[in-house]
Amino acid sequence: MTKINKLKIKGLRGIKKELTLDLSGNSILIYGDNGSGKSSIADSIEWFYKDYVSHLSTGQIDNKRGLTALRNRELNENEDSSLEIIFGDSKLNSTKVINSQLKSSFVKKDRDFDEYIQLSEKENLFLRFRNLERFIIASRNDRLTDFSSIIGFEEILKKRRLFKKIKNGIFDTLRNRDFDNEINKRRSHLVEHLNEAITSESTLVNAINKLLATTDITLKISKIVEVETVLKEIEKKSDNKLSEIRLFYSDVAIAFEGFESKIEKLESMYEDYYKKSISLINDKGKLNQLYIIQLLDEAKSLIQNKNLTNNECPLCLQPKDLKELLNELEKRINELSDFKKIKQELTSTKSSLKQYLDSLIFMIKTLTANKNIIHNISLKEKLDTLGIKLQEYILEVDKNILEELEIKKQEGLLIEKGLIQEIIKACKQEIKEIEKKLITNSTHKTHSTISLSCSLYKEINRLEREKSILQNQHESLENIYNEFIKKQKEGLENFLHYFSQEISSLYFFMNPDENANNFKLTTTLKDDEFEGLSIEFRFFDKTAFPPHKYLSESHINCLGIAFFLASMKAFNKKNKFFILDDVISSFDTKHRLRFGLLLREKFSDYQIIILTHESQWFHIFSNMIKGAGWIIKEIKWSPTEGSYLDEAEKELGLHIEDCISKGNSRSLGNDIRKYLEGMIKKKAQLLCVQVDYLPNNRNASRMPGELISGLKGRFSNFPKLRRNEVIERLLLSNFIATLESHDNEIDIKDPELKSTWQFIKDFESLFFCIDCKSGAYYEKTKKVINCKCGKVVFTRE
Amino acid sequence: MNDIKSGKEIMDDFFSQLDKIPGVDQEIAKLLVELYKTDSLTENNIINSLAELRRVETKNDKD
Repeated sequence: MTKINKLKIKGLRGIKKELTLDLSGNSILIYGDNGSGKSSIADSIEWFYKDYVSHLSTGQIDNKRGLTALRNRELNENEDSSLEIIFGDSKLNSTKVINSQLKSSFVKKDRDFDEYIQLSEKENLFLRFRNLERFIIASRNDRLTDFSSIIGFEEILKKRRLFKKIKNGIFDTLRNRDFDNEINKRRSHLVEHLNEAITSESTLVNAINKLLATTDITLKISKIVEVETVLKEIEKKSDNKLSEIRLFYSDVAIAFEGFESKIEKLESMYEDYYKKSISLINDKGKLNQLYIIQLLDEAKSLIQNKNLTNNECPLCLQPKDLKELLNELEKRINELSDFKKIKQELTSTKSSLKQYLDSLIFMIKTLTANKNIIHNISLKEKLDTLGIKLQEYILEVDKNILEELEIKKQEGLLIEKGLIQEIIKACKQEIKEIEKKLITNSTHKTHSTISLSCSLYKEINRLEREKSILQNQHESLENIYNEFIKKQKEGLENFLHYFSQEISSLYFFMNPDENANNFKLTTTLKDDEFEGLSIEFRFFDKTAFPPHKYLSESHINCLGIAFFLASMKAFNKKNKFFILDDVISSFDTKHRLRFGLLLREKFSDYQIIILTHESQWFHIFSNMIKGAGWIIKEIKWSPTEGSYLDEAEKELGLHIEDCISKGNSRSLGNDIRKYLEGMIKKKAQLLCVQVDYLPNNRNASRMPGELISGLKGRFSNFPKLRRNEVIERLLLSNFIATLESHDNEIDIKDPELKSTWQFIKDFESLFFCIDCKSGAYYEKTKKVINCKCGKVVFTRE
Repeated sequence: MNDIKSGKEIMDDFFSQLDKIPGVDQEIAKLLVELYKTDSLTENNIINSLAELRRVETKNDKD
């Protein structure tokens, strides 16, 4: 996981000229008044990772993902704004630029970096005050959507719905094909023809052999495959034409047995589809929403199927980042979820109806394709009429209701039951006529019965096999679906259990000894589907929910922070840093202290960027993080400079170095005095120098002499410091003696100024660790002076 | 935290163990895993693959 070593921001939000933050992986606390440009830092980093600034992306401010407001408004057309980030992992170093046309791009891009940005986009890196309550007060459904999106459960929910749909689709096919009825019809006909029940191949073989025994054919069969040979033998002795035609009429008659109930089923399915469609067509509002969903779905499908190569929206053809567009589309589609349900229901009804119609049309086509149909033109016409009637249904179902085309009512599509009866009657009549002719020729009759029975038997086998294959597929998908639900439930509950514990523990840290604890995220179900996430907790030893009904603003914000920190710990895999932008504004003093302690004690291994305008908390937290390797800065703003870091001391140091190198000693004494005063104050703070109590502002304007005495007192217990040459040289120098009289003009000659400056630098180096780049501090619990990493250490006697 | 899995990890685990689920046809397991691996586990692809599987099984019966 990476941290940030350096940030260089230019021309973004309030930052006009380049602002550099040298972090070397350390955390930073930045104080700035409102409007000083603190949030410019957070906004720039958010844009770097997400290519938008969330709090600037609202329609009122900017409908271009906050980018119009992101660029500093005083920049010239030809000036680019940029953020360069130097990471702990140097291969990720990159600069992102945005020009006046609001086109953003990374200067350097490679596969590793692309992957890093893609993964970082989903990480929890930013928390702003305005987002603290969002998750807590959201609806259960929104909370589940948000949470699912964070932990990548969205895809699981989609796959679950997909498995359910496929499994139900196969079940529909099984039901529509009505296998049992079709098989039973053929079994009854077998009994009718052979006068015995055929339960297996051997019973059929026996029955056929019995029939053969009544003829002059001496052949016998032992397997059904041998029937063909026997039939050919019979055909040598007589014309089998009649037998073949009889078989055809028999097929038609069997197919139409019970066909009326199939038509009734079709009518009922169509009636359902018609009602749903008309309800939508008559409600313009719903229809428009449905139209939008269709459009959004199309665009989403185009992008997902990678049919697009240019970075432009497939709907409006405007330049657009496709990845970002896909996120926006998904968000919009989710927002229209109620209409999506209506659309899904209609699609599902339409799909079942079409599937059913297809199976009926296929049956008619198979019969009309039989060559024997030419013997009965009237029957062919009846079958064709039925086929046309079924096609009329297809035409209605295929109409796009979004085009508001009129759909015929059921009455306009009616298939007359008389037509079915006529078909069956015609076939039975033909069979009767053929049987009359066959009765005069027993060989003919045997041929007809054997071929008919074998055909029925094969048909039964085919239907049974087809049913078995479909049942097997349905069973497999049912088992897969059930296992998927189990895994999803386990995964989600494991996660929620862990997450609930984390949140409770973080909340408890900020609110010990209070009557609200044991926060628990639980799923709510509706129609066997996860509907939402609710937050329960123990409140005065009773289970309560939702939190915002019972808890104060401070407590709700604590909970919001606990959610953010728990999410950040759980999901951030690439980045070991996070940014808190003015999050403690509504906290009372007690919560501010506990929050500071929480960050110091529980998140010391993270790089934290804290931006605050609360001066009191800034001072309290500055003391809390003393010696922990934090960088503390103040940000200011001026009309000419824009936002800038207040680095007066650093600049003064550079000015002194410059004057010394150029031999310019004018006012050098006073400059060194100013620098030395600042440095002594800092050291006195880091080394916990004990001084008399002074109220508020008077504390900061102590005379240096008082602090120098305090420093000497602190060093007296540390042998290596008590008689340290570097310290003695500085503290016993004439310069220090002059410093005691604060208001006097410094009057020290040039060579002595140079050596005093060197003493100051040596003194600073003595307490500075070049490894962890932090100054040594007094650690009260161990009573030692040491740096963050422990390489610079001074122990007591 | 070790037991905690992201959505993708749960899906990866699920599909890697799909053929071990009792009562699941191995051919179906194979085709679903293949579609998942190639990022093409869509409704149409599954329906078409299952239909093709039925066609092949019926054809094998005839042969």
